[in-house]
Amino acid sequence: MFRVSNEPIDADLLSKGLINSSAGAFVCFEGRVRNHNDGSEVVSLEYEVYEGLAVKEAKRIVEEAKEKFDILDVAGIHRQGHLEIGDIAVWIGVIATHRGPAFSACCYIIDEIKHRLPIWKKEHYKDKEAKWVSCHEGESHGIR
Amino acid sequence: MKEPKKLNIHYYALLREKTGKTEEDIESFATTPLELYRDLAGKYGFPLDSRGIRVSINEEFQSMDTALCSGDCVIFIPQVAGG
Repeated sequence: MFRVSNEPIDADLLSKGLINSSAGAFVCFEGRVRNHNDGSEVVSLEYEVYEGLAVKEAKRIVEEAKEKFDILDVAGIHRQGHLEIGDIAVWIGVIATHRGPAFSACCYIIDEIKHRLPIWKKEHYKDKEAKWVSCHEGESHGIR
Repeated sequence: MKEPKKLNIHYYALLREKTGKTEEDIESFATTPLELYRDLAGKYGFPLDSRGIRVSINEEFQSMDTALCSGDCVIFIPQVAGG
């Protein structure tokens, strides 16, 4: 399951939806809006999503993860719209029988989402004009 | 004589801001998304370097040299930064 939301993400609710008696591991990644980037003070973020293709591509990524890793289920959600500092921008949860595949799959899914989904981020700064940020700017500083 | 193709184009993020619109219907003689992008870049002042740009045709990723057909829905995807 993967969807795009205009509303705040309720991580507790999402994790409660991942239920399977065979699951001995639950791993989640929660991406939050931070207050700085590349030396600039960020005051808020705006996400724009091409929803039709984003959901389609995310489902492909989840299927790939299920083929690569021994996992039981995945849930994921990405925000669109205006977000404040500390808000959850993206949430990925994975359950598996054992923790190894759950960690690996969660890592794979968020990395692929970051690179492949048509989602754009505009940063609003305290001291300068807002701008759309490309993933390649983040990559030059390693995984974020 | 060659007929122009009727295309529906949607704009997101930077390209939406440059065009001032979320979508438009156009008639174009461009044969590929790359040619179309170059035409639109000249018209709206998009970034001229198309190397970081991907394209979706009818809600699927395609290469920039795919043949365009009349009725296609085309969306150019500048470098993304989700998550």
